[in-house]
Amino acid sequence: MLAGTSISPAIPGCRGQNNGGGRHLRSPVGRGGKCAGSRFGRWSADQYLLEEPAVAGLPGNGRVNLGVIGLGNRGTQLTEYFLKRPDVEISYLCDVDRSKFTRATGLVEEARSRIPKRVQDFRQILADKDVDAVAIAAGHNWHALATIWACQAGKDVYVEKPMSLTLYEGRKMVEAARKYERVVQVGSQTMSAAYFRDALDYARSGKLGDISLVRSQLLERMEPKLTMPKPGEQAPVPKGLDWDMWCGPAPLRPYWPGTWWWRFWDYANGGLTDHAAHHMGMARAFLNLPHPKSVCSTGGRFHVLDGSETPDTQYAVFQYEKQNIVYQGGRWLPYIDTAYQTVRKRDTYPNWLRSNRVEVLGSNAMLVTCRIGAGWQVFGKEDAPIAGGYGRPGDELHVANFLECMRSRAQPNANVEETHQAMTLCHLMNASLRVGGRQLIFDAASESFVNDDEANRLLKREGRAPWLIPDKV
Amino acid sequence: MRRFVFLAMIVHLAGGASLAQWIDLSDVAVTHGSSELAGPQVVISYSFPEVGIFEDTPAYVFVRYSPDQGATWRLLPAEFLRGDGFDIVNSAGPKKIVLWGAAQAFVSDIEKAEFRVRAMKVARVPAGAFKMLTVPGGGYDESGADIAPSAVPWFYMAQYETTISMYVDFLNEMGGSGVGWNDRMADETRCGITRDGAAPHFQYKAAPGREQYPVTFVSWYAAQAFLKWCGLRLPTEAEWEKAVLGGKYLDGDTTKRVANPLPDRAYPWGNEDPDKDGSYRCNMDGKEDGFAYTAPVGSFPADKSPYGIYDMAGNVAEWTTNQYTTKWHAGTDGYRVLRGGSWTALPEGVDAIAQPTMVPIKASSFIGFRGVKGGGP
Repeated sequence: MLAGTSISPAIPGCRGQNNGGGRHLRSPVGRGGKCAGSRFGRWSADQYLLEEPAVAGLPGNGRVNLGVIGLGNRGTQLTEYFLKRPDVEISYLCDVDRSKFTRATGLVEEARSRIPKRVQDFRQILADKDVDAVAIAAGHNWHALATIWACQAGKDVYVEKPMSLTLYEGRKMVEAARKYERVVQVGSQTMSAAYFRDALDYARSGKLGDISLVRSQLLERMEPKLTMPKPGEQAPVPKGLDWDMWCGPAPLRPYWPGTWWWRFWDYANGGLTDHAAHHMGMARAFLNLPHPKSVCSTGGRFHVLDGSETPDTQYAVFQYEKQNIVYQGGRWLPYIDTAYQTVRKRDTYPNWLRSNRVEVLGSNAMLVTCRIGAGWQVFGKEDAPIAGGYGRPGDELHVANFLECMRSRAQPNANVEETHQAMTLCHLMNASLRVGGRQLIFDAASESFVNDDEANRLLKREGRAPWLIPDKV
Repeated sequence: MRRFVFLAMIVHLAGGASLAQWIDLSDVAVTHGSSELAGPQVVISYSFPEVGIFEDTPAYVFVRYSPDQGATWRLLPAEFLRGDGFDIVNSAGPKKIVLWGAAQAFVSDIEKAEFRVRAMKVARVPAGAFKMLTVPGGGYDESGADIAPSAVPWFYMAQYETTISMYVDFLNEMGGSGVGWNDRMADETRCGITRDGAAPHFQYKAAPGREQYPVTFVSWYAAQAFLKWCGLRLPTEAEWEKAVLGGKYLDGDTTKRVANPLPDRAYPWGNEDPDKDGSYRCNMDGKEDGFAYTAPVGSFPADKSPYGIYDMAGNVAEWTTNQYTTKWHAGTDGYRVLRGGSWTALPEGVDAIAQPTMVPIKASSFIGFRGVKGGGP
């Protein structure tokens, strides 16, 4: 096991072959996504892709040597995003299920005309000193520990959201990133989307007036009913699947196929929190404040009754000094246009009334935006918007930002510190919900609830040896 | 009057391994006649060679014609044909294909038409019950086929993955403007089809020695186009899985004489690991099996299903009609499900239930296809 081994942080990017010299990364994030002078500017991801590295003064111009951990849909998508970059070499693919390599292997073969190493245990990647970074898209129960071990092994980390299952996990991820001086970016790609950066700039410019309320509305269509195992029921473990390692830090339970785990607290935080990780990140970014003073949340599983533990309906209020964040979540709303495909790559806005959205309410005007490339608009007293811009999803820009920060050693967008702040909101509201909806007072310094042992127990989980989050990273 | 007739496919046996292209048909001839009652007729006659054609493993024969001296070519629908030499042919010897009513349905001047006849080996998968081990589309097939069927109608499936030489013929008839081809196909380690000339008269040829390798870098759409060209279609996942697992009775439910000894087998050959005892049963990852990339179709005698269909475990993964489409894919054409392993797959990825998905536009070095006829989705 790599945890606790002595690792000397390396500087990624210095290793590897020279890719031609003088070819460098173009800074992808910031305001660059929009055409200059265009108020509702068109956006193109292509301008950031397939460009050779181009920033003078960076410590290295070699290729980034990357391992991808977890090859489900998201891990395969990440593989594709990273492969679009000529400055990235994917040397490892990893999944605990050895039958899962097909798509990602094909992508690497197609893009690079070679087959990467494929391993079932990601610790083999961490042990390879030639690997600069890992992209973690394994099950949610693995995000924290894999990140910590990767930091200890001297790797930079791109870890998918939600970054942690408990507040404690998130804190240890932050500590590991700091201690080992690693670039750790969380897959909250909206944080790199050009339109969202523009919206943030606008809100922070003061034009909205005093912002005292941010409403985060996570409204989605009906989630599917899952096939749950009956008590005592189990299926044969498929050949090639290391089920013990799949469970990892979570309890080892009898194998059952499917995505049931997504809605059980031991393995994930549920569909709402999975996406709330994005929405809370956006809401928090507009306020740009540390932890809230208190939280109160209510809800439950009211619609899709399939034995899932996590809620399909949730309401939460976060109290700050002079601000509130109000969160509403529902995953049973067939009339909601989630904008996944209708807006994401088009110059159009969603019908905000029937959409997922984050609303920033200022004393002068209201800004409304959403993830998945929805764009942003500002409304004052009149019907017509007074500002805004179309959007595109930030996935590829996010990857570009990660790579740039690997070279510059700057903090990336959605870095582990900021995202821990956002994810804490999710953990707090889930704790309040699970203790019956009572208001919980939160002490930011100790990252714990005041005088509430029952709620505090939900901020850390027991874990399962040998997959334990170390107290001292 | 004789017009042009082309020949087609073959199977030859070498060292126990079957290799496949179009079968060579001999003594081909076209004659024109007429009767007072039925009008003009065209008779295509040929001799089908002794190449191991049987009732269970017959040949599929199709006819294409050109009404304009080879400028364009079209498939002659089987419903307009009579005789014993088209569609499913299960014995060797002299054959006839008779076309009636050409002047009404196809070309007014039938005597100027040219014809091409091609044949490929297929295997019969009889109708009947089988135990499907997977759910079509992984349970996300919004085309409506998301329930594992307990039986499928009869169908015939190509014994071999579609080869480069077959696909080159398709391109030379249909790809003059460039459709169906991409420059990655020129890679001789992974495919091997080169293109000369300029649109709209591109010409294609297989790289020397690559004729019997499976065609790769074909998108789902290109695979569909090829199969429409020859009158076939892609298999459903259920058909593909039944072809590799076998039905409850290998001779089908009509006769029920041959019980399937391994209805839930892991691989076409049974349950032994693909690389057990250092013996490689299919073309998978690495070059220890004899091939670093794809292999000529039929190179692995063990990689044969109970119906005699080759390379369902390894070589190239194969497109099916089934979709994996969720609400996330609204506004896109979703994913299509691939079945079977490939030369890039680890041993765990070449079993009968491997079910990766891929967007249909993707043309990859490890994806090919084969056709089926009969039955229905």
